[in-house]
Amino acid sequence: MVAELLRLRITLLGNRLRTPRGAIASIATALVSVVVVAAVAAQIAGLARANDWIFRPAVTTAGALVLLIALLLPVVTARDESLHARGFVGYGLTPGFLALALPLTDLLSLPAVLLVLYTVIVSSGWAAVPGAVGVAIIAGILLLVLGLQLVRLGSTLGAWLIRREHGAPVRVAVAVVLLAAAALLLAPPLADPRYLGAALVPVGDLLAVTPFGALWDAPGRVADGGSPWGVILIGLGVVAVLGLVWWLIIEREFHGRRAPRSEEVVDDALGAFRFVPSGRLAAITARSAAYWVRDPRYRVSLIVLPVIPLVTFVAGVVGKVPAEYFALVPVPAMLIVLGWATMHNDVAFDSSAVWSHVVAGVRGVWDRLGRAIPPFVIGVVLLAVGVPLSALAGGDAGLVLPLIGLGSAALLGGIGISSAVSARFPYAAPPPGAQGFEAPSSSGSGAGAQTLSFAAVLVVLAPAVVATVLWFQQGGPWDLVALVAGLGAGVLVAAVGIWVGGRSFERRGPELVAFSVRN
Amino acid sequence: MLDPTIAVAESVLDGVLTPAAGDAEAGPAVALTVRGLTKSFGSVHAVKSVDLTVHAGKFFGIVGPNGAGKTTTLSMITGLLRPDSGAIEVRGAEVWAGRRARTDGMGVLPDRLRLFDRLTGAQLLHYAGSLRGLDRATIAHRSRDLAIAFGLTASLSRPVSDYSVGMTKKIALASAMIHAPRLLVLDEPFESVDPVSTAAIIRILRRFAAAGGTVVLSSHSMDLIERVCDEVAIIAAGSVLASGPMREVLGGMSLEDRFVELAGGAGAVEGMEWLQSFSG
Repeated sequence: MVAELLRLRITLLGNRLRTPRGAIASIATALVSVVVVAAVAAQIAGLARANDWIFRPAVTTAGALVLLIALLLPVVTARDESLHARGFVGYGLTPGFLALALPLTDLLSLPAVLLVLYTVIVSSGWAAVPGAVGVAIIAGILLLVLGLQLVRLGSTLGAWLIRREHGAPVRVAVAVVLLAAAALLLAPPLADPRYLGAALVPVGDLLAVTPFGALWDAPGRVADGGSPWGVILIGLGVVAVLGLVWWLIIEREFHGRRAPRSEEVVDDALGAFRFVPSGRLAAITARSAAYWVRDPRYRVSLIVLPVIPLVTFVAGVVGKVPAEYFALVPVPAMLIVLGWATMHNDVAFDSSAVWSHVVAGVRGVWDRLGRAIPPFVIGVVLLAVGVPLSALAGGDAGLVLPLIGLGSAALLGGIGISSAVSARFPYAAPPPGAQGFEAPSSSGSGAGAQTLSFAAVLVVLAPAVVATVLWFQQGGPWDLVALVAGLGAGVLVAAVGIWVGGRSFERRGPELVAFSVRN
Repeated sequence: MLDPTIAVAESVLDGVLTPAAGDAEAGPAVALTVRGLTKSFGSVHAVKSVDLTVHAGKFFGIVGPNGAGKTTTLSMITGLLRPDSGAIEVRGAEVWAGRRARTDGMGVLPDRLRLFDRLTGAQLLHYAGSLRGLDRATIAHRSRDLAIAFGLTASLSRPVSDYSVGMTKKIALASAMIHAPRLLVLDEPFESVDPVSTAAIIRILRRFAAAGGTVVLSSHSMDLIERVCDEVAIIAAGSVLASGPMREVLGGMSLEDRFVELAGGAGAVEGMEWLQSFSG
């Protein structure tokens, strides 16, 4: 049976060579990796021949990185597991047999060749030390087993990630770690090893007691007159534990995954909604937020946001405006875009199922609030990040108070006015799901309401603006006035706007439904 | 995989659809009355003084040709369209008493109105339940039952925008039923739905009606209405031509024949001789 499995493995390897492209890619990959691994290993072994004391920590550190790569590279490159354990269910094999036999076939693989190559070349560095060679051979065999176990686990993990919805970002993160590991491995031989030596020693000492480094350090202990058997035991233990993990995985695969129970199916399908509390407002907020994330039209608004400070900055520099003046502009401007531009027509934007709100008798205030919360949260984050940055750019910590005043007036004023206007005067917009720059198919009045509502937002901003100007001219407590005036006007307008919008939504339900159908 | 058979559907739906049993009065209670309902769009009189009486625990079918005013009538009953005049009472309470219609006790399936289709099926059900004020546990339990009953379990995690027309209809219907309403108003519930699902839905609705719930549905499929409904109204050009218990309206004819007799559509085939002289 083992022979059968090995033959299967050889067939699979042979299959890669069947198309010219596959053959070239496979052979090139194999050649390049053999050359690179041999070169790196030779460099490290060269340290020993030069009688360099760095050899021992270098072997441990590089060895640990090699094992890390053995684990992570398959996570990134895995497509689907070859010789998947589940495929053998019908052949009367026991999971225990498979858990032993499948890794055996891994000896016929590129990682096995590379591991053997690397270990042999590096261990040759111990040739001069009596007694170390024997230990190096024992450790080397264990390292080969350990490395292949890690490759197996890595490819199992990678194949599992492929099947998961959010597996891709995890694999990207792994790829980044992998690149860092490769860079660390290649850097010492490429740069001057002595330069890195001082850093390498403590790292090597540390890794020597971890499962990744212990076995690599075993011959080194002999060379320094110590006993290697402690670390060999650690290595054996690690191999045994990983073997057990592997056996459990196979066992699980073999006995199948039970079909998910229906509660689990529903829970799974709820996605992020799983964490949404009960109640109308929470549901409307969650749905609105989901649309902000998934709808390309909202993304366009969000993409515009970072452009604003850039434009202001360029304009300020070109116009030679003092920094403390133009530092005041970006945050309120971004918040107007967020609060007003994205929201003032949200009934048209988010028209898909206005009818369901109307039929369910949802209170207008909940409808308005639920739609306002996502931009509000984004706005608060923008304020928290933007205000200190702006004050920093303006070079004056005193800018913080007026900035918060201006910003909250822009955000809350925009949200309040939009909430009222969009329920009363919706106008045609690109339909939900359309690309952000698409034009609506029906047009109608709306320009008037649009202009007026924008003017209204500027009116809400006015007290804070006036107070800020006075603060620049006279100093004194005007900065505090700007804060209070901006925040006060914003809160007031937001509350009134949401209430008026809610009332209008309740009274004009059928008209809004008709609008959403026409649009 | 879950078993989507009708037997399972029936047993699980007991938990969802249990409107309180009808009042123990003599004769069936009236669930919905419509009097003198009228609606015009500009110069088009879409609905002209429609009267309907729907009894509790019954299947009430509204049939009529395309453009007869079925959807307009149902939209006014469900609060989606403001009537020009007329009265709509559900269990004695006027729907259009204020500016806003009172449709709390209704489950509504509109025809061709868009859903929040960027949500997954499960999210949509959760949303529908939340809008009706249900708590999480109830929504989860009923979502599961409805998904099994409508054979949607495998599709729950996909966005509704990826559903086929029939599946969209089914998830909309499930959303309309999740709060266990007393009155279901369904506009073309079986359009684009496959026969197996149609049969399952009808069984579910029958149980619902047997427990005292009322179903008002529209269709232009005469066969289906004749087979399924207890009461029927035939509507053409915005007016009710006949309405009442199925047996009385039919008077021994099939619904289709009776409908053609009332609506008089026989003349339409004249003047099409050119279609019989082929051009090549």
